[in-house]
Amino acid sequence: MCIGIPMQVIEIDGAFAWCEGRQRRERLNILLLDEVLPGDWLYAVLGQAREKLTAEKSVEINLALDGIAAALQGETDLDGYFPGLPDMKNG
Amino acid sequence: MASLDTGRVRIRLSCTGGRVNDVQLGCERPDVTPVLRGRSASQAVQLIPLLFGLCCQSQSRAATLALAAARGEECQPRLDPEVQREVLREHLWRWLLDLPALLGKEALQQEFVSGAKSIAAGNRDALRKLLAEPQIENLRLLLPCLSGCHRHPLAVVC
Repeated sequence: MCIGIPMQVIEIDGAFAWCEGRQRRERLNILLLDEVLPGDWLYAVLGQAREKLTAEKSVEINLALDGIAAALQGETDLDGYFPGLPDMKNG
Repeated sequence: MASLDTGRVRIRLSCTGGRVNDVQLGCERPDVTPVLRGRSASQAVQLIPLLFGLCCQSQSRAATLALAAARGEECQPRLDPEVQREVLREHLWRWLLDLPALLGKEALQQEFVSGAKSIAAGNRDALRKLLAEPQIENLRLLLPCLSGCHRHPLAVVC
């Protein structure tokens, strides 16, 4: 909830798509999206595909989620997980 | 890539004699405070919508208002159009997923999909037309049935 994950479409199955991302495979409901093709990146929340993502955005979100996971593991130098924020170090 | 539990809200209702007599609410989200701690205010506002991708407009606005409040600035209550559209879309999305099945009207799902797409595209005319259709009017009449619906499990995870 509130936090979704990027998943890549492997196979279309009617109003659903089998997708993979962040070490899991899931059947997502794709009713809300116009045209979904294998290889597309989707933003997945609770079994639903909410929007299409560019490959670049998927990388950015995945890295940010890695940043949260690293922080939860006690890592303190997190700047490398957020390269899209150029003013991160000196802001 | 590390696995990450993205969390859940857990609502537990206890019922006696058909009435709710106790509610327990728990929010289980990953703690993002270590990611934000030590950042400048502007960095935090940039990070929030990246971390919380669902309702990101609302999350971003909430972060901005929280920072303004922390600075002691006066904030006028205001709902900007982007947030308003997002709230509408999210509510309709839940309706799309939940209501047709609860009411035994699965065929209505397609109307909700059309509505959600009209909102996403900012197409008010199409939405108005859809809401005036007899199918939706029928749904409105069915809504009171929900209050007496006993098919919900006591523990709801959303």
